[in-house]
Amino acid sequence: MRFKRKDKNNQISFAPDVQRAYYRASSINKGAKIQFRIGFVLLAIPLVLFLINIFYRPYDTTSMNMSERFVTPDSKHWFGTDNYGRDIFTRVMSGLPLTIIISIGINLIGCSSGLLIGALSGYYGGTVDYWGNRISDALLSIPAILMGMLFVATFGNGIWQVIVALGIMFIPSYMRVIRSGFLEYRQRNFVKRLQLLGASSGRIIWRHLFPQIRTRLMSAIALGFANAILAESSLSFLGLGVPPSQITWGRMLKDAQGFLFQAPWSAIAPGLMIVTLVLGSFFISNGLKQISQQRSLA
Amino acid sequence: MQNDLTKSEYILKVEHLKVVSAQGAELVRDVSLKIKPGEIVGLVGESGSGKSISTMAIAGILPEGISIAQGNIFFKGQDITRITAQDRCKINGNQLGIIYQDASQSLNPLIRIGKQIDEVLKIHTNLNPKERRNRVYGTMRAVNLSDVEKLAKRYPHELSGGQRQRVLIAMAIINNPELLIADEPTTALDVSVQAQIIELIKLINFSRKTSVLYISHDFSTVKKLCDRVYVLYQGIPVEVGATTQIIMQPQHMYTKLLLESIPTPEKRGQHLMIMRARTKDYRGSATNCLFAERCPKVFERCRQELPDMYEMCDGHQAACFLLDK
Amino acid sequence: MARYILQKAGQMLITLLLIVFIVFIMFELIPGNPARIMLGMNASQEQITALELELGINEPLPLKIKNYFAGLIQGDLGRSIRFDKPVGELIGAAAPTTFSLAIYAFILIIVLSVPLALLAARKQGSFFDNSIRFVTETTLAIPPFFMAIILMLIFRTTQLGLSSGQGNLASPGFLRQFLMPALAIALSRVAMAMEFLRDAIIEQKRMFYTRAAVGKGATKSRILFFHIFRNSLVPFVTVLGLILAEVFGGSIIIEQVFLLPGLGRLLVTAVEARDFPLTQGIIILIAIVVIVVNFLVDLINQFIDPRIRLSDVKSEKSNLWTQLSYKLKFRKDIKR
Repeated sequence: MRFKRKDKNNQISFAPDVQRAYYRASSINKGAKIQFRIGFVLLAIPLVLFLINIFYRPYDTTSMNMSERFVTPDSKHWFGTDNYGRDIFTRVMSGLPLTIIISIGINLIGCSSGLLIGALSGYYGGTVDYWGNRISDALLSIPAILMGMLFVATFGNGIWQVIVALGIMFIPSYMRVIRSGFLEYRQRNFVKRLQLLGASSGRIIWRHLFPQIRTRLMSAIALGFANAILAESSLSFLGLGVPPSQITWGRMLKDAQGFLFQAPWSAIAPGLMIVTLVLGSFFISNGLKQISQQRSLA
Repeated sequence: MQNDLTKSEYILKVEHLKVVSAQGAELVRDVSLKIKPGEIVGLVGESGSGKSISTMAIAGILPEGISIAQGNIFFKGQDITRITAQDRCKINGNQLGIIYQDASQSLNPLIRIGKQIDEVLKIHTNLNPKERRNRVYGTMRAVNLSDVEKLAKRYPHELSGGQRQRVLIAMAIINNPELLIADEPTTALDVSVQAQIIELIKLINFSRKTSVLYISHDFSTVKKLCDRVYVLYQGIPVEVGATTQIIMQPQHMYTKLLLESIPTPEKRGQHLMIMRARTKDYRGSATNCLFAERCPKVFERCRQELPDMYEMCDGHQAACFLLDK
Repeated sequence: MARYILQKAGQMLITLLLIVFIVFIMFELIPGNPARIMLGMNASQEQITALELELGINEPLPLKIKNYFAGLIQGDLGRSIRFDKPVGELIGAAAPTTFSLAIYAFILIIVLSVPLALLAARKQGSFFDNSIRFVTETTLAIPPFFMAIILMLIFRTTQLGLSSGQGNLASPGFLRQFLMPALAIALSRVAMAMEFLRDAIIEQKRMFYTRAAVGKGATKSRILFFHIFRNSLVPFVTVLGLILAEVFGGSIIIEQVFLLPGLGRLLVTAVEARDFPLTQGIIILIAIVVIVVNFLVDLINQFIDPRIRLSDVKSEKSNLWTQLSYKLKFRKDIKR
């Protein structure tokens, strides 16, 4: 392997790890493969529900049917019905798009800001790094839902409030991932060589350093997706954030708590959906992480 | 002591040791060696020759996944290849002291020096704390550490490389072991400190009558220290003999080339003999002379058979067909 | 050592000021008239003017900041609008429940994660190791409130004997009463603590000094507890400090599930009523506790590992953070 550092055109590669990663791409280790498999299977369940949801809903999500209260799960109502006789399967299904939109929004804010701050403080270090760290320390010392609550107290309930508040709280973890990646590679010789060649900082950051941490970032995004779902559902469970007119799993759980022993399925169905999505993302994240670790060890 | 020796005249006797990894690679192929009481024996070889693995096997500290496949190791007449963990704990640190290559990593970074040396006594003796302390200080002085009271309260990262190596030696000899295994104790050190450590090992051997198994890739230190030398090549000893014999009249081509490649003042202005590089890393079992691919005097037989040890004169043996007359 | 502590204390102060500032500045961002929003639509003009005066809403910003910090230093967190009581008093009444719950959950996390980690680290990649990790990974994916509901369903009860009043560490029967809420918080966090300890132990096992200890003749248990465990403690303690914020977050939700009269319930009420002084007070209190505990963690670590004093701890810790937020497994699988 050691002698294969030159690429096809016999040019010396500046980023040996990327090169080696290609050589190794065929040999993703078994552990990562299993993780991916479990992850994709778990994520496939909500995905199928999501697709069905677009074209067809078996029942109306809001209309009440007092004759069919607390129906146990059967062939007609797969997950049973709740205290207003609404079909839980339908409600769970229609809660999915909102959850996904909110999670994506949160991670867009968190990832883009985290990437910017992390790259700057990781590459330049010094004062930028110090203050970046202080701010992220401060943000990390409040639980994410507290920030969500602060935003709701300030701006009232609303989807945007949730996305922005949690998005801000997700910046530090992205920042840390990217910063540590940059710190690790900044000292490598290929970066020094590029600096000697007169490559601009922007070019080094974007063309040479960023590709090194791409897999890690993807892993962090998968994890962030899971954590966003957890945080959002926590807020909804407290009855804050997403307005009551919208169906969210957290709020379904909150409502179900009132008749938990009469209709346990009404709590288990949305809860299981959360766990499925989150666990699926966890596994994908772990698989990606294993690959990225293999690369950085290579 | 006397009783033990009647059982076997060797303090350590290794017979046909074979060590394999979990993947089946043969790391040590067929090593036999003997150490008499009070003797300093050198084990020389390039990296990957299996010299460190052999010593790990002797000390029972093989890494996970690597195991002894064949052979016996007799320590004072007792086979220690298949003893229980408890019996092993009684031998290690007590009758068998080990000095490691990398002193900075072989000391626990979070525990004070004194306490780490003391641990050996705590495990193996019933002395009270005061006696233990005195003995720790005594041993530390014996390995030429100065200002020991202060030093004992330091952490490993506050010491110099030479000091750390001395602390490791103190740890190894504090219970007056009968055998001291020194696994390249000088590689990480400056040349001046190297010489001091060599002298120290010599002194320990002289004053405590400790046998020493000294592992090195460096003939110059071996020359200064050892009585007898085993030259190891790819897990097989290729030449055995008294140090002077091997230095003056090396018989195996590998030993010859090794010695030739040391730059000495006498060779000034001449070309150094350079051995051909190893082209393949062969890890299967040996069917022919393993040195054949690099040997300048290779002939047909080398590629077909595995040479035996041929004895030249008392104790000087080499595994080469050129000697088969 | 003194220098290290001073440096850490300085960082802690900066972080504290930042967090107070963030919370304070949110108040300035309230769209429209804060007093009207807080008092609701039915408030009269006099009430609003009175509140404006009390909160000093119309004063210039620097003066407001000065007043707020001055009040904070004296322990004055303002006055709750919803309850018409000093915020300090309200928090004082509710805090013991939350803190007891958090401490209980925290102890549960340690009690559960240490043995699990020791067992899992015995043989890396064994069936036992994998199954422990799979189970804890799954509990990590279960949000605390769902965990609480599962626990309720399993034990068929919502009543925990906490019919009235607030329990805290001192009250009799606390351990039994609070077991379910504490377990609900702890179970979802055990995975993190466990994995970090496990990874640290596995890493330390590969270290040369462990091998050297075998050479000394130390027994397996001696090596594990005298050498390896101690060396694995620094990442573990650090992670515990970092988990603390999550434990508080969890306990805020769990109080809602089990109807415990703690800070979480108070906070939800405050947020729903847009009672800003109370919200600010609770958030700042929790942030202060988390920051101070993390400062203590730094101090403890420095006693465990004297090298920390010398090296740049900042990078060490942020590295840990990366791993935590990333649940990095230190799997340096060496292919032989």
